[in-house]
Amino acid sequence: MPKKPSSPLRSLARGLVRASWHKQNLYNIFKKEAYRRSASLYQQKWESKRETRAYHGEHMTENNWLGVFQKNLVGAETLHDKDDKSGEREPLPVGLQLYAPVERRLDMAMFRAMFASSPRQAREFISSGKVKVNGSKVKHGFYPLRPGDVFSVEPECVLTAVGREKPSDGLSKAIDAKQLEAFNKFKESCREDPRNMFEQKFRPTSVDGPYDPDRLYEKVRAMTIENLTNKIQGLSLDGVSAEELTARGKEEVEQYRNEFQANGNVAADDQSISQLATQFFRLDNSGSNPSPEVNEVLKKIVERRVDIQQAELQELVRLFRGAASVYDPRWYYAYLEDYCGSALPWQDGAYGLQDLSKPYFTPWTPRTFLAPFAIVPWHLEISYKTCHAVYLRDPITRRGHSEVISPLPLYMHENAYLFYVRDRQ
Amino acid sequence: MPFSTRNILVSTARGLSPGQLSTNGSYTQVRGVRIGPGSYLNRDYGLVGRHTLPRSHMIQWFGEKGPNGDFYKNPFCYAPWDHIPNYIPHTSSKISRDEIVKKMADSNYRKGVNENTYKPFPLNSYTKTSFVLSEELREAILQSCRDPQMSLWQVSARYGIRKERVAATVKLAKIETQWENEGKITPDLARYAHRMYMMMPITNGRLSQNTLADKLGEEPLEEIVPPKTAQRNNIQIMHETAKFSPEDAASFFHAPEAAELMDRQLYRDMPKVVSFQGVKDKDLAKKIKQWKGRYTDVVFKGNNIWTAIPAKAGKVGYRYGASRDHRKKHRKHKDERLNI
Repeated sequence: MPKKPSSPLRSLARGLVRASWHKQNLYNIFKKEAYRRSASLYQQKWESKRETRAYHGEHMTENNWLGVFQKNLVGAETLHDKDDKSGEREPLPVGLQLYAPVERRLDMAMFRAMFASSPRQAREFISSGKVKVNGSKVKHGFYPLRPGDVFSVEPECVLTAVGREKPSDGLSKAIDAKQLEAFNKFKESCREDPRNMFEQKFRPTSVDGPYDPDRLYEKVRAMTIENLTNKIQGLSLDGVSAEELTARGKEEVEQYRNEFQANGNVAADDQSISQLATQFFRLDNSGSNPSPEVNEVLKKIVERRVDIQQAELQELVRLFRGAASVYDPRWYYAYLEDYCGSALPWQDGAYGLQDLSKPYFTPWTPRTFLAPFAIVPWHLEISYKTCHAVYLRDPITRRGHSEVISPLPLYMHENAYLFYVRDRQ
Repeated sequence: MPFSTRNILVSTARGLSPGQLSTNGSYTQVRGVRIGPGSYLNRDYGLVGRHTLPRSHMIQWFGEKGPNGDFYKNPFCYAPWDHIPNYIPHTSSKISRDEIVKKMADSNYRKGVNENTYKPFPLNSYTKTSFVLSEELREAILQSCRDPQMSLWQVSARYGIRKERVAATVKLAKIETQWENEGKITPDLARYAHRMYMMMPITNGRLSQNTLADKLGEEPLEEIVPPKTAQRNNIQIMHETAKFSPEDAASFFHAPEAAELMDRQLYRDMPKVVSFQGVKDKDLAKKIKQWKGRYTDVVFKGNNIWTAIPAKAGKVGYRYGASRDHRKKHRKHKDERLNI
């Protein structure tokens, strides 16, 4: 019989941290603070055991856990670390290796690979035959993985686990009604005052700051510095501080700049500007020219010969389109039902029910509050396209870093180890 | 803002002023906080008699709900698109976590990327996220692996990615190609894969060393996990002035020297010695003797000669667990294990 939780999984009073993506669990993690209660040694060990077992292998019985518990905790060293006698080495958090055997379990590995929202859900998938290891179906969550094992989950399960909850018909209708109400209000305001609404819609938001050609240029340049290697053809190093570029990056830029200077400079003529405008900013070339501010920015970009990828400038397209478009009193007609043929043009069907045959929210959207749990594990290699993952090795501990993922501090693991090594043998 | 200035009235039993949640400004001291007679009259927040105090704190933390039920103002609600993680921030003792989360709404917050950005839990600085291989790096690795003159360790050393990970990348790429040819990658699955890629931190490894992620994403290649013989307590009595060199340690533990081990890992594909085979034919002893000292000692026991032979990791020993599907006649088993 699978073990049922001995205490409520998301109790706010107890505040135990669980291996789960539930938003209430996130709140418990957020508010948890490290404190050492002045208590006897046994009380400290007991509390550490309670806290750490609530996260690591909560779904295992205590006897199952003791079956995999290993007394010897081992860390990994590099040779030059061993010879370093400066005394400034980072500590080796060997205590975190306590729950490394739990990470070998198939259900835990699935949770780490983000194929399930919790090891309990992973166990559900496993027991219903949706999981394979090395091509064979495995129906037991305790299956211990070995280095090199390839495990896979049926994509529908993963999409259900990671995606939003499919709304019921009633809920979907209610949300659509609210959306329609807000959208109708928007359209009404457009009819009444199209000029004001146009400026509101295409005005840069406060996050981007006021419209400023130099600032926009800086933004373009900052985006391309991230991908420095082959894309920059003639970036001038004036104004770029040494801290921004690594040593290697700087060398490459110098190399490119020398090549660029050898080939000769390119004048920023009208043809190249309009070419850039049509190619990257999808501005209408028929009659309306870009505004003077936009022209200035484009000129700078062409002069500096910064090679821009279209995907990188999707953000700026909106700004430029807004600034460069000529105001037309009928600009909002695209949103009207008569023209676009739908009451809610961004949606195809009811909210979340684009495809009724799927058990998850469609079109597929990630669940909320997923970001704080989006951790890439070191001991697994994951393919999201096929929902396959490879168990590379048992998680190890090295100086300053442990591959065992745990939200709890090191001293709690050490105390829990003391508990198990002495009091549970 | 998700953190409303409307505070819930709390008794001053523990020296707290009205509206103060706890002495250190946190939500943790739930059990210690005394609820006074006036606290339920919190008509400002509309929580009269509906929720317990901890629950009302939590509701306050989540913040305002949008029309579709999303807590859209909470900074942790939505996943990022720029490969920079959106974890609970690390804080010093002077600044509370709540204050830093308020700053997360600022656009400049995501520009200040440092090592703590890649640490998901504020209480545990030893847990760090790994990095998904960027498309460029992945393509470069696959290209290098197709080159027959490059061995696995060379590819690993070139890009700063461990051997097993390189092998796994190749294996998973094959599966992906197979799925694409068979049309198994549905639009939803493609959407999911792209979204996961955009929210996870990515690295270029040694391909380009421009960002912090590239530096942190480089994996340590020269690592030694102590051999099993060394994981037990071992005591050897020796003279005070006697010297104990690494060679002595290696022979004591019946394991290769650390330097030799590392040499093998880096420059040769060292087979993993995992099985023992009883050899009855004594003519074979000559062949086995040449293995002596390379991996382990040869042991003569009775009529048999025992030694360790190179074997592929994992394909030996007894498979624990109830999954004996490979022996069932009606189920075909194709061992697709990755031999690293």
